[in-house]
Amino acid sequence: MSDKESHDFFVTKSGVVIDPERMKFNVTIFKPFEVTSYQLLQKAFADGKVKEGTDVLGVALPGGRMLTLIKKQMAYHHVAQGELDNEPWLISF
Amino acid sequence: MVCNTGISLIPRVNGQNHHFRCAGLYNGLVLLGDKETHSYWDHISGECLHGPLRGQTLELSGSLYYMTAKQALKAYPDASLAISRQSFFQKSLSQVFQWTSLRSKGFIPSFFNKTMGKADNRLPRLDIGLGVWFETKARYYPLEQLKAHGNATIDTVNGHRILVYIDPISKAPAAIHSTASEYHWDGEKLHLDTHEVLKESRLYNEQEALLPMNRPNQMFTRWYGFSYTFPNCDIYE
Repeated sequence: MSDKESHDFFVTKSGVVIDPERMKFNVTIFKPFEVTSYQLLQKAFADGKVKEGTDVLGVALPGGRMLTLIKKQMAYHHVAQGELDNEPWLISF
Repeated sequence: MVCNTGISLIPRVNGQNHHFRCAGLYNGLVLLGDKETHSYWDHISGECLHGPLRGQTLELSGSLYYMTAKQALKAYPDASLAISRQSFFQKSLSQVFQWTSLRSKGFIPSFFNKTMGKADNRLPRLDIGLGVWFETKARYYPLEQLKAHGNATIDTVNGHRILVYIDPISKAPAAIHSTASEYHWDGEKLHLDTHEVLKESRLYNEQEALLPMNRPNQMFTRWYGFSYTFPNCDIYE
């Protein structure tokens, strides 16, 4: 299906009427953050990679682990994705 | 984006992991796109709005916590951190978008307007607050309204009793399920009449034992983002 082919409306579960004519497609400026490595926040703090006042976004993953990302970085990436403890996760911002 | 609404989803469709990026815009909000099918997804509800997987929904994993690193470290000593190795260009854009994030003042870029439908004018588009939802029932808590109520309130939404408060350190609003009827602040500690205390992003009982925090679906957002996603939502007054 091409982006402009479908002009039919779609209604979401919350009642939003989606008009594909108003959608902006193929935005490519924002590269997602594909996470392949992690470190302990404690160590990053000790190593000076994050400061006390650095704003972070936290998410409690299904496995129970708290994952943090630097908010400022996410303001560009908008999407971060990875796996932790074999559980796939996705954060949109 | 301008809205800076965040959420956590499980990127799995029909048992397969899909890979997402910010691929589009609708109603001034990010649309996720998956590499596998080039479908477009609402980044808050996880619903696929356009493309081969339209009608499918990603499972919601949880809401985001807004914290400082110090807060996170204290509340979750075992927390993991992922740091992106950004290029100079990416760092520059991060700086720009950070600046436009959830501040009382802001602007909507002109190209957003083409994607936006009829606005809900009950509040200014760029008002900031906390949106909470249960199934299809949603309520928006303007930040200024929360401040006027002493930075906290106890409310019932769709039969669910919740405590909504402004975290004194991160200044971000958040909500937890609670059976409390009354509360009072003692500095940065929020005391509940259930003999629980909320401090440093965690909930404790009288014996200072850590209690689980049951959080409803929520997002710290701008009014336009929430009202476009949940039309006819209530506004807390």
